[in-house]
Amino acid sequence: MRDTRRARMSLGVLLAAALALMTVDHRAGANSPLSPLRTAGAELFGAAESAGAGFVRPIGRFFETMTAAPDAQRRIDALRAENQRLRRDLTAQALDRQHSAELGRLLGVAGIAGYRLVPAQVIARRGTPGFEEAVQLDVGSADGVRSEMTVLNGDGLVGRVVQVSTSTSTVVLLSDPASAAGARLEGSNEIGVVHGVGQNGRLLRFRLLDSTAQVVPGRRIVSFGSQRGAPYVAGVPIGVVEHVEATPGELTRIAYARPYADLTALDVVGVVVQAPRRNPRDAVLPDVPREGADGGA
Amino acid sequence: MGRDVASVGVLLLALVVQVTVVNRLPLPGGAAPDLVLLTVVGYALARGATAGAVMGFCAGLAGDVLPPAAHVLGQYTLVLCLIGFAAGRVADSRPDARLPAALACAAAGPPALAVTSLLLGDAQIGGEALVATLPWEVGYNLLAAPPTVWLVMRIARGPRERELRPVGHLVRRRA
Repeated sequence: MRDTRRARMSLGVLLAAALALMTVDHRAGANSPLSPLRTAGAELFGAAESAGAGFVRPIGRFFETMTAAPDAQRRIDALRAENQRLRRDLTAQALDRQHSAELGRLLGVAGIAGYRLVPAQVIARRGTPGFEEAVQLDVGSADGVRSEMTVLNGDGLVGRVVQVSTSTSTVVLLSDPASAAGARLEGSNEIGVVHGVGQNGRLLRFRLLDSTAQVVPGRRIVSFGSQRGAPYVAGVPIGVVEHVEATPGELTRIAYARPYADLTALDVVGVVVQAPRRNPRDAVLPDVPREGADGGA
Repeated sequence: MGRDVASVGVLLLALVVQVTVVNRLPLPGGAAPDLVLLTVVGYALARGATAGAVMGFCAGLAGDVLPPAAHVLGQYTLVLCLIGFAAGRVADSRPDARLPAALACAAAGPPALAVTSLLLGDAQIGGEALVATLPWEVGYNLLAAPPTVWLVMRIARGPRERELRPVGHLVRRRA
């Protein structure tokens, strides 16, 4: 019985304390003397709660992820398909834009020089560096293309047609070592022959027939033209001289030129089906190359 | 001593788990079991009336200052102190009636809290919310009571007494 009395007494004391707490807190309101207690509790348990929440949140997220997984998988599939479609569209668009730009440049050249061009696209390429550089175009005799016709693009001379089928034709590029094209220096009558040197079409060898002629790097080369425009029409820009080889005692001078047309990355080209009535001479040459900059397109 | 420390640890754990996990569980009815109340009940059933009242007082005070708290300081203290004392009294006088006592205390907790809030004129508790939420709270408390109370009683009783108890039963039977 003594135990019970003690228990009752302690209960009474505790209840009285609780009631006192409530009364004080309720009466005092905002500026209650118990607010330090509250603040301390907030500090202590707040830290514990944030730690607990940090521990619990990943678990909760894991279960959320698990329950949402099938839906998420479906979404991922749909998004991936959409992404693929968009990427394809974008690539197609970029290609179309590039084609359009090249065609525009080609038309500009044709308009200035008065060529009649058949636009064509490169569909195959054979390149054995140093031996053979040829591409296949998607135009043929049905489009009016004959062999020994000049092929150029918006930047400059590309090569000549060597073989024609009904719907395709083969073009030997300028960079083919076996090809030779008559050329002359811009603005003068110095004439020479352009050979390919392989090197992936990066350089052309320009053999100047007059060994005393002045050739300096930066001079530009245009095609000299052949009889009735076959195989090369006159006045097509070929390239810009990069360096001159000293050949003392020889009958010819040799210069190396960088072609205007990027012969390794051909896409849209034009076949000249009718030569201009009048030699356009230097009219279609690109702008004078600035010092150190590349001269072509 | 060790079991008291363990009990206080369990109580603190229950306080934090209550606000970080249990109260945020998306249970139907918008209610959740009160782990702190059940911890106090279990402790009181294991240790008697005085210890139960003291533990209830401390747990209630901690629950009152535990953020987020916007009620008058002391009402949780009052209710838990009373419930701890009641559970301890039952355990003292009739040790075989522990399970009904635990269930009764678990069921009595939410209404007692609501009544003290109403008496203090807490505007947050309206009559309708009371009617809609209280049955759920009582139900969840009753569901969670047996395992929680059993676990807390095991911890509060300590390892030594658990070993001695069968012997005590044998002695009582012989006598």
